[in-house]
Amino acid sequence: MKKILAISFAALLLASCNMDFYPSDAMTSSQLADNPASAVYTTDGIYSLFKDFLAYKGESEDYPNGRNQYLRHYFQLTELRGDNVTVSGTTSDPFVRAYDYQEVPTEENIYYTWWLAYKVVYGANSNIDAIAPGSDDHLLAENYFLRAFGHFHLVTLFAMPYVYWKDHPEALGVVEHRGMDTYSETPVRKTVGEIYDGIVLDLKEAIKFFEADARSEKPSTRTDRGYASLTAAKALLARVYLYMEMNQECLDICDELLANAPTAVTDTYDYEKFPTATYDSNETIWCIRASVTDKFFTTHPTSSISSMYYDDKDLKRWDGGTGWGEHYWADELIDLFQRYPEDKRFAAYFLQPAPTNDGKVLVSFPIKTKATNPHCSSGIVHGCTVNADGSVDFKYKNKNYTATPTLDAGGYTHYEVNTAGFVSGADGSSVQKRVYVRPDGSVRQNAGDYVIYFNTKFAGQDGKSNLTSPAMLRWGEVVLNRAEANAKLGNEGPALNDVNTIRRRAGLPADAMFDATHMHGYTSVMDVVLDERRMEFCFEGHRYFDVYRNRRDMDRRFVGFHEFGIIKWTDPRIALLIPLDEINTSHIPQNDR
Amino acid sequence: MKKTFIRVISVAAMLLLSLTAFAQKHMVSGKVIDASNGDPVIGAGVLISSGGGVVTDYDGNYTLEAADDDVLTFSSIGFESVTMKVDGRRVIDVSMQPDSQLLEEVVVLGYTTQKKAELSSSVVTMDGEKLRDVATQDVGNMLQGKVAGVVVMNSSGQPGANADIRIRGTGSITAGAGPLYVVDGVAGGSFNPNDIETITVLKDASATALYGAAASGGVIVVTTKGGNADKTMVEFKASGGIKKALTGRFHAMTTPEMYDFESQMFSPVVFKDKYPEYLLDYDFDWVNNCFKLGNVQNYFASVAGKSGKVNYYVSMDHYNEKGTLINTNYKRNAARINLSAPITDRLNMSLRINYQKSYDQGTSSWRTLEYAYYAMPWDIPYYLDEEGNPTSEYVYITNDKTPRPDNGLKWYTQNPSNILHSEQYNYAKGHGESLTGDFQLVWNPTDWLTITSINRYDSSTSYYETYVDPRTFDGSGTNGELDNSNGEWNGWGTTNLVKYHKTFGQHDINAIAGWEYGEGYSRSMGVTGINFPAGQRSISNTQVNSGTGSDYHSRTWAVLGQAQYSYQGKYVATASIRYDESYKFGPYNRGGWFPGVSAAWIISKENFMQNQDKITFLKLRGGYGKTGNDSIPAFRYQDTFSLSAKYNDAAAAVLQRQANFNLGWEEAYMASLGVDATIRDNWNITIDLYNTINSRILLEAPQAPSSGFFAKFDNVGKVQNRGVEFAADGAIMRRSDFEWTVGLNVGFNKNRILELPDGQDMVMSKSEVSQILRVGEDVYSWYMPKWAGVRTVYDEDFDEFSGIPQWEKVNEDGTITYVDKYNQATFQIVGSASPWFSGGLNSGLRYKNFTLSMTGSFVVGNKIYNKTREAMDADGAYTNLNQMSHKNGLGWVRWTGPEFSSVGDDDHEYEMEDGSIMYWLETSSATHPQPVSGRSDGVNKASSRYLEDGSFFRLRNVTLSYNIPANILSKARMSGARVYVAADNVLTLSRFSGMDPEVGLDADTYHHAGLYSSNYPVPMSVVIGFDVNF
Repeated sequence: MKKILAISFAALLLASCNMDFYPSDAMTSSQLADNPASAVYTTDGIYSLFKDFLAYKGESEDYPNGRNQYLRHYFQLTELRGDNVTVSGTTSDPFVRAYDYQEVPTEENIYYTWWLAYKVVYGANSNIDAIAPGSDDHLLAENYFLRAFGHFHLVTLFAMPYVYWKDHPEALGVVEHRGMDTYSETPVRKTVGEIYDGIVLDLKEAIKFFEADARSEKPSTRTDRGYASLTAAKALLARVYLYMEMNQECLDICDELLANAPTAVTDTYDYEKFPTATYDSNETIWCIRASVTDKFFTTHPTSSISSMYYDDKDLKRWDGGTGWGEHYWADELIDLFQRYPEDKRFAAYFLQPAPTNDGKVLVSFPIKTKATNPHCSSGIVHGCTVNADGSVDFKYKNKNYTATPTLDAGGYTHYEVNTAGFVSGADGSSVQKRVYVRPDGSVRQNAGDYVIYFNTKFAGQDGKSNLTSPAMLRWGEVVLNRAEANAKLGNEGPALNDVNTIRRRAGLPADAMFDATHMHGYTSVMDVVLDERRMEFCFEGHRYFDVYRNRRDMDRRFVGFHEFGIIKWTDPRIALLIPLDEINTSHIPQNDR
Repeated sequence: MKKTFIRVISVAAMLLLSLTAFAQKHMVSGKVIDASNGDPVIGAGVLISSGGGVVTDYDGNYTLEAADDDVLTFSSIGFESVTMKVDGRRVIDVSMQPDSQLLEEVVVLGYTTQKKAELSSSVVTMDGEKLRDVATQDVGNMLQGKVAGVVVMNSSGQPGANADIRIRGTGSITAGAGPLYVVDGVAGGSFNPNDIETITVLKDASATALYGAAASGGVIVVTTKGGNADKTMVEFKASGGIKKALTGRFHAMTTPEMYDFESQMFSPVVFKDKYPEYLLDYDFDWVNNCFKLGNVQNYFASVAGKSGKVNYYVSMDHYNEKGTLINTNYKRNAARINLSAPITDRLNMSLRINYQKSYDQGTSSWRTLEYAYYAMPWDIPYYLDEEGNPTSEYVYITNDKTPRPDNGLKWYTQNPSNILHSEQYNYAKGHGESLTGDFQLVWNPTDWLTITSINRYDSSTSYYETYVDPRTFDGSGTNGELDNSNGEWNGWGTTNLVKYHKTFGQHDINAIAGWEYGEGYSRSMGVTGINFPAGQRSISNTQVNSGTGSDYHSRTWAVLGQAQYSYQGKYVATASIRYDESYKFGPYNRGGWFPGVSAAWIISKENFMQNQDKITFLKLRGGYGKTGNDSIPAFRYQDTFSLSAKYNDAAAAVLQRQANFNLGWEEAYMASLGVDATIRDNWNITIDLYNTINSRILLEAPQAPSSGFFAKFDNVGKVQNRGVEFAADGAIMRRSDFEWTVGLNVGFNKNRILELPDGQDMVMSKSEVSQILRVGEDVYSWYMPKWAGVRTVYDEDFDEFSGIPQWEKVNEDGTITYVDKYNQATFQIVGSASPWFSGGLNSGLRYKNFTLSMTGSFVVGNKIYNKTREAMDADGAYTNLNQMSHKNGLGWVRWTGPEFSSVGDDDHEYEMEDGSIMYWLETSSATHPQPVSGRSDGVNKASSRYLEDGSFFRLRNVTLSYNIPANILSKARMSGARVYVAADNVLTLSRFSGMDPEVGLDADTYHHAGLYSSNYPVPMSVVIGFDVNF
């Protein structure tokens, strides 16, 4: 018996079977490495992260509600925390807490953005490790660019601004991964300055390899605007220098770039068409290329950022695609554009669905937050008539008021209520003088009342209202980056010239242009530049940074569903909370609250 | 096979009898046969009252000498004893009735069959009939409350859903922790519960080690029925009944309640504008309209018998269940053929084939269930007629900006759509087929050697289709969506065993050696099409949007051996070992050794136990063994890129995970000690102690997301499960026409993490709810901010009091302060989803031909996280989701104003309306804060506020049955007939605020064990039926 056992055990152990099996629907890294095009695949894989759904912890694209798209989170986390956007009330979507500076570190917009930016960084590291210099320098350069881009998003979202760090050298940035060997180290948060230094180094590497590629015998054919390029690397470096207040360096790069810019940059272009074909426009330097056949779009078109700003269901400007249509133009931004209603940047993208055609107007105004209520609320009075003198009478809480057109220093009109006692709280400081008079129209009723002002800046690619390939870098930014750098260097004339370039191509009349003697009530060139940036880049994720990195406070006393007040540029809440999953695994310090 | 084995054992037992003959006696001979089939009873003992005795031979014959006044007692294991007076007879033939109770004394352990008395490990075996009291198709469900130490939770009332099973706690965290099913001797395979002859639960590793791989969650051995009788046995069973969803304490608010709740959040002017009074005219009960009466039917017929030398068993089964939630159902048709026939005297073959086809349908979207819970009561899904009364036509709602098409009014429920409108067109359904065929050869070259070869072919296919009509809200974005997917699996395996059994005097030796080999292939394909005209159900008429496909191959092999030694039937020792290889692990870690040892001492057979009759059976047993777990998805040790992504319309590769070539077996080491006793031939008592340590746990260990990855499969840490199990059953009264039997089983389990890498905590978060792995704590420890109730604050600006939420913040020095912002609160352990103890109770009352049986099950001490409350008990965070009614008997109180005291400090002084001075209190006895519309302070984020006591007692089944008397039966040529009425889940005692405290133990992508989120509750059912035997 023992013999039998022993023999059978021995026989079977010796007869070891082949137990190596591989999935048919995936490739291992060694299988992929055998393919000469692997670096192209893996680099394109990084770009795809920005638009595709990825399952975090196995969550499928259908849960929760298919809304985990990097671009959507990125644009929400930036714009909703600024002063250009108001949201339509409460929702189960966590953007509402980011909008209110109450973000929770277990929520998808926080963890997905963090994770995916680092996934970009990992992919770039892995490729930089694999691509030998000289073999495909364009791809190598793209990966240096993407690594810088990932870190830049991370440090700007999850850490305090660079200028804050200048005064507080202990201010922590994010985790840095430049090189595959860093993954075996315990993650630490480097300082904001160190992270920026790494970004600059990476962009310089990118520039070096893009230039080497251009000089090589067979330069890359990856010239589509969907891929990073030498121009993109320089444009991003210009932005980074601006954020670092390295104004001369920024100016130099912008000069260099604009010297070789396509002529169309300074000309007007079809603003309405631009979002529908960013990849085809000379204005675009680099965009994230979305395609009508992409699965994120075919299965969950409403996940796109376009859907958050616009609903084509009833308007049928494009394919009638349903959008959430939950983010609207903030009143202050509309007022800024209203100075020149012919502004193409407004006319092309602003849409108030179903305004009344009986000439009636509505008056709206914010109401201060109670100490115990996290949100301000808004007052809206419908069906008002404009008096002959342009004023509007309205009744609110059984009292009569008059909204009177008032001119500001620049001669632009806004409305104020001069009636004493137009108060929303017992606190006298909450008197709202300024109100907004608009055509009466559709109102969204959720937790509060909001007039719907759609934004089509992300809509209409391939005739699809929910499809867009957002431009991440464009020439307009280079121009205004130079304007800002010049303004800060005291070169006010050139700064205003660049502002005028932008205004001219937006179709503003000659009298809208600035010069040292014609400042339209502005007292500072920086204010001119910042307001122009606000209008030019509205909804594109710049405003949030532009305010705080210029040591300015964010005035959020506008109609909306957020906490009514001013957020100081030193407020720790400017740095988003780091996802709890990160804190729990790498034990890096959390941001203050 | 089994009966033969009984006989062999019986012979051995009878050899112990001393054989003595006396003078003045005459020879008596005869044959002892089995009354059920006429087979000879081999080795039956024949005891002579005056002393001495013999055993029957292989033909059942015996010869002995006896006096006329002697009484002969015929006994054999598995039969009721027969007593005969000799009375001068020379030939006494005896027909023995099989004893159903004693039949259980032989236990099928999968590879082996063993006498229950000599079992040395913790094994619970049950007759198939005992399982089938509950109206379900799932065998796990049937086991609930019946076996000590086995926790069964029905996580869903979805027809066709399987219950989660945990044997002796949870040791595995990411890898599957459920038991391994062994059907007719081979792991895996399909079966129909009606075909079960016996089911055996192997709880400790000394028994399960022989199964090595995937046995760390215990083993459930299923043996299907066979044909054995000369007399053909025909059985027909039919049952049918209705089902109703159990909604427990949960009530969504009615219109008046919701209206009142909303009014607390707005000033009267605003409120009237937002929620006009006409809403009070409508009150639609979404729960009752989404959950309706379901029904269940089951028909079963079988024929068992013997034709020539061929034993056969043939059965057919039809099960059909309509779920309580709309558009959910399950149907299954099954057939089985079990044949066995001798090829030669010493070679027997058998064939077992099971075929089944099932159809199942779930709701078309997970939103259906959520909507059933939280749609607003004044949203009426139907068109309204001119008088404002609902018609039967569903209204199509696209968004909240456009008015209802029928009456121009607003639709209030958040994320507006009318799920009932969608459900009339959309569906998600599938069907599957499975075929299991076993071919078995049993060869006895000598009396002491048996060689068996079991060869199984397994094949299954599945098809799944979801259809979203372009006319519905869900289909509006893509103009319809059709998903078709199919999968197929086929595999084969062979299990070859050499069994040795020999008795040398008082020594009995059993041994087996064997090897197993198997291969499996799986293929799948899925296609999604969009953009098609309403009603099209063919992919070819759609715009194909995406496709998936896979083709996987797998292989397993193992060798195993076991030896058992028994001395005098009193001392038993068993040792086993198994070697397994798993393709799921890296090349250097595929092999796993799984040894097990156990021993038993049957104390009641000792001489010193013979002079008493209180303890008729007493056994002490103990064992130690090791098992393994590889139930994780394949390819997890490899780094793989998915090429399904595209960029700029070109293929793009995205890395799915990093490689871990060190990935290897999870190992479970279990020590156990048990006592089995029978007291006064009536009370069977079993007590078990165990200590299991799972080490090298296969965990999808969280990784720092800053690495670009969030988790990695790895072998990390150790988990201990310690516990005590107690089971007792017996008769309180046993008379010829009245019998009352009762049973109780209970298992206490304590789970603790012993080791984690570097002792570091691991936080497992899913759907924004976290559990933590921390050394010294339970594996299912909830990790979230601790709710600190409601605090009253005073706002001087507005001269107003408010009731606000607060949470604990644990400061660095350990002191606790209270914060009113969720994102400032501290995450901490606030309870565990593991029960402290669980078990079941049963009672059977028989009066004449009536039987009333009851089974109940209970779980005590677990904490359930009620995620539904994040939406439905949200204090205004969602103004357009229906809220849970506070009238649930749980003492929920909403803050309506400050509480005052007659003493206090100046800061809290307040002048009351009557001018008196009182002091307002910061603390509040309210459980719920003042509602605030659209709040974003995190009041409804995961905190201990929504963590509830999950303890419950449930009366699982009450059955009243009537056995038709024999005299009536014989006229109808029937051998047995029973009619019954059974009610399942008739009573639940619980303080849980959701619909159903039975919450899944299996974690999935979105759910932790113990998380409740708009669950599909189990139903209460009432079923009538009858069984007839011919």
